[in-house]
Amino acid sequence: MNHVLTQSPTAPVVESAVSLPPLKVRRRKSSMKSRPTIGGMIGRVIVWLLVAFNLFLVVWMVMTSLRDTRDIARDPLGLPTQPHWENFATAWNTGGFGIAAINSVVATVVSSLLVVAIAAPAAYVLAKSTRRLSSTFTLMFVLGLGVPGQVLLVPIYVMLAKFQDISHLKMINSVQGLIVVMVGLGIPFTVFLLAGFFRSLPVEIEEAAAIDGSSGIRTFIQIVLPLARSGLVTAFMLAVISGWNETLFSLVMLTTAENRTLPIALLAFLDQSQFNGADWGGLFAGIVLVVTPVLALFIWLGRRIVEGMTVGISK
Amino acid sequence: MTHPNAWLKIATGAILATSVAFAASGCTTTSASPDDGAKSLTYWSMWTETEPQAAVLKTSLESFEKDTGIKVDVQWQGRKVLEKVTTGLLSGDVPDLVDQAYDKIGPALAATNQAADLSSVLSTKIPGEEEHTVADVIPSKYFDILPSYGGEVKNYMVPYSVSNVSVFYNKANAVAPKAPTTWDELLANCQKAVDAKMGCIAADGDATWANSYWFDYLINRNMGDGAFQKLMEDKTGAAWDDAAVLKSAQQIQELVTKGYIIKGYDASKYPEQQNAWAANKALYFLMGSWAPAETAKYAAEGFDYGAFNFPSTATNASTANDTLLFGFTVPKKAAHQDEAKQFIAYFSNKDRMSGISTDANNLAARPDVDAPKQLADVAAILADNETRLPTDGVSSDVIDKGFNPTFDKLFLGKVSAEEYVKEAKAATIAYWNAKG
Amino acid sequence: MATPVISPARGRSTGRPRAGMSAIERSRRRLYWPMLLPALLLMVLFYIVPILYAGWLSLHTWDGINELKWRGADNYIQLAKDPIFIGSIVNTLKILFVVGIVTFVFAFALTMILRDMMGRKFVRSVLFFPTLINAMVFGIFAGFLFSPAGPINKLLAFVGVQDPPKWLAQDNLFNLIMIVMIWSATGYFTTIIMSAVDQIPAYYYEAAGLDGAGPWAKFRHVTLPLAWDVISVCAVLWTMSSVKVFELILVFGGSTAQAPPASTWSTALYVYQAAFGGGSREFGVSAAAAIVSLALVTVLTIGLRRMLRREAIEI
Repeated sequence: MNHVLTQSPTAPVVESAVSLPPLKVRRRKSSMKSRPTIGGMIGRVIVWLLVAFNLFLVVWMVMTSLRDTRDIARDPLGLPTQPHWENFATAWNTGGFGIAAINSVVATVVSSLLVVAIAAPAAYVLAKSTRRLSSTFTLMFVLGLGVPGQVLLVPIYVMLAKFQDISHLKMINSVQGLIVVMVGLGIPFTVFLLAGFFRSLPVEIEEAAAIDGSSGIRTFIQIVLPLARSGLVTAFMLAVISGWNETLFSLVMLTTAENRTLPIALLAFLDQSQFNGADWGGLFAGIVLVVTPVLALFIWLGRRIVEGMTVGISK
Repeated sequence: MTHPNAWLKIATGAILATSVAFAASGCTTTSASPDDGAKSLTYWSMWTETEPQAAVLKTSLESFEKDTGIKVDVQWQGRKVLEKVTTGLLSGDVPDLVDQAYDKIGPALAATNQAADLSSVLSTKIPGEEEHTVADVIPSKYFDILPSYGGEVKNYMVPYSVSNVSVFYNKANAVAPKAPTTWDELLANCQKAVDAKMGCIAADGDATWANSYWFDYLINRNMGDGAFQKLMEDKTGAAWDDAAVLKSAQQIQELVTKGYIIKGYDASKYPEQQNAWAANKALYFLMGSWAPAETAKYAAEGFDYGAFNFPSTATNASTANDTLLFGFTVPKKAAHQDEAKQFIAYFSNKDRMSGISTDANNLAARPDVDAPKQLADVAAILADNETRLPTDGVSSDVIDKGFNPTFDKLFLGKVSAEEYVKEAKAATIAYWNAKG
Repeated sequence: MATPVISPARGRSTGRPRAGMSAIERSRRRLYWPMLLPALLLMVLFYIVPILYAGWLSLHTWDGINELKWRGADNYIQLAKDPIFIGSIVNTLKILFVVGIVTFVFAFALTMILRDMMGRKFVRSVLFFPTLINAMVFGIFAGFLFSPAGPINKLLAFVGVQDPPKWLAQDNLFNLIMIVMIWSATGYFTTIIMSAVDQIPAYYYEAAGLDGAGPWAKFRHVTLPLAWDVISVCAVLWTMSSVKVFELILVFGGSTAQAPPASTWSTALYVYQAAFGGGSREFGVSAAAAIVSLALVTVLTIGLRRMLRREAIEI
């Protein structure tokens, strides 16, 4: 569900939905800062408990990843008596998480760059064009947002397999194939997000550039793109997060250990516990590998991600 | 720069750049380039590279290369190997040799007529052991029980490893050290366990596939071989009306109502209770022979793995033992079928196959390979009894959709035996009705 | 297809006076197709063709290997008779309505509580974070935390609950899945709603306060109507996401290589299982289930839009 949400078209949506006058009214500072009611107090306690729980999960995940499997089974909440760093070594080497991490990084970064590179020009012309056809296309991209991945799963899978049969370019069970799919599937959201962003850019600068004699393509690359940098970065970040979490297509496409991405390696690690026993320590080390990059990204660029996914880019 | 050719340039550049990128990034293609005329063999394995089974196979693959000059390309695909093969059949990327369990190979390759006939392998002399053919050393009963899954080829797999399902227990336990042979003895021991404040039977509520072994075995003991299959495949559901079906359901119900199944089983996630069993929290555990290997990490100190065949419910009851076969298969579209068959015979050599026992702690398909110590009982059960397939080898689809949902209710104590039989009958009819 | 839920945002470009064919306009026209085409092509390849192909496949029976056979509407009839498919639809609807409504109530409550709370940004970030994580991780966590001898039950025993709920029992499994979904989605929707509420100018509240309105009346007559557009957009977003739920259920019930119990399947799970889950592949049935889920999301989105729009007028 989560990565689905990240693909959702919230950003421009909310921006357009909240059609209130953009009054720069700061939140009422004076009004109710006084003493909260009893209900409010209880609410705050609950909120802080919830916050504590979420923070606890992160700490618990890290702690457990450093514990011995037998220990974990006995007491899932215990602290590591001594750090079992070898869990990470196990996960990285024998658990297949090492190669999976590399694959995940490659697939995510390359596909995110490509999707932004392809979506940005399209979003730009759709945002600025006054042709009637444009609104049809825009609508098509919007509709694409509502198509559940499972509808596309079998057809895309079969299409890739047939394409591979003809072209001998490896599509199924290869990172390059996954990249192609992630780019294709990411188009509607990225176009939609960026179109909303380009619309908010002032026209005057482009017009000035045009008067200077810049060609359209040069205006786009030298003037518009730099202006839109923050929107592009946001689009890139959101593509990275959804790519990092992609599971449905990866699960069907990637089977061999050397081609797995992290979510699939995690599933394979769970599968492998049949016949040869579960290795909880290694499993949690794997989970840490899945979660940490997103956590780091969130700590580093959290505001931008949150805004990209919610309020949009109104500044 | 507003020249109309600007776009042409950019487009050409883009195409060029893409092709260069594809070439430079070493984009993998499917062509294996075996053009040098040398013999080769592509093997996709159900094991992942770090598993002990993989190490055993690797040793033989290497010596096979040396002995025959056939170059082996092995890919450690893991458990989902057959999904990869089915995809390969669609995309023209097919291995020469594959291994998995019979119930995976059957529906994927035998049912779709995509498996090569391996009869010729059976009469092949085993390299290094020329006095024997493959058929001499691998019991014929393993081939006899293989279901055809509606396909044309009967001998679509040659097993190299065997698992069977029996009741595991700790021989060193103080509560009931003697293994029961009848259902009543089992119940008596269960009572002892409950009195001693421990669970009798370990089970995880969500592991329906394992819990259903109980019912499957009871039907077999009460009604004989093939009865379970009849139950599942009778589209009218009439097979469920047999009084012995109700009796089997009542026997399950008794385990539930008397509290013989470990506390919390109905809310646990596999393998939690399996591990609890290894920690001496329960007496018995009905499971495949991989149980000792899976629980080794969790076993209590001094745990002595023992096993007994599923108890009989009447004097003349069947004593057949649930057996799961793991082995090689060759896709019909494989390019190097002869080399693949050659390796199957090569690996059937006693010395090579014995690694399955000594290194991977599994039972080898050859009975003359000594079983690993903790599977000694299991090997004896396998040798002394008739062999059957769990659920008589019916398709996993009918089990998943037609059987498991209602069986869960019985095993988790939500319906009585009478209600269960009624619901299960209705579910069977509904399943076949939906199948059309 | 999904509905045109989100009317393409209108930027200022549309209102711009068209001063004939300016230079910028001309160059933009020339660049229109080259810039749009790559994205359009991907859209066709990865959305339009697959949907048509799925529709066509759904009328056939095919195992992905042997000859494809015409089956007419029989796949759909089979689905209608299949209690597991009906169950998967019911589960999807439960996710949509039960999880959706509870999440929204929580999100509003949190918005109200957080409005004047210290550290609201921090709290919001912490609650938002689960949205970014692959839901599989939560599935694995829940298996640990809610196991019979696990931490949650220990905690309950500590406060005197001797007979805790059987969390992971099959009957409760789906409820637990829903709880986890509520937990992970609340932060996301809280953030959206908060940003909408933040844009409501303070003087509305002040005016309401002068009229003697209490907190509830302020919520009812100021917050709710002014944030209504955003709520309605969120509802559509949730509809789209709820039909896609996959990873969480896949991992929640299925611990090893086995499929999760059929009672927890969503439509996405059903599609996956029919095509890739069991031994035999039923691409036709899977495609039919996919088409049904596409129809489902379309009908639900249209219905929801209608319903929410009417209510907005009422207020």
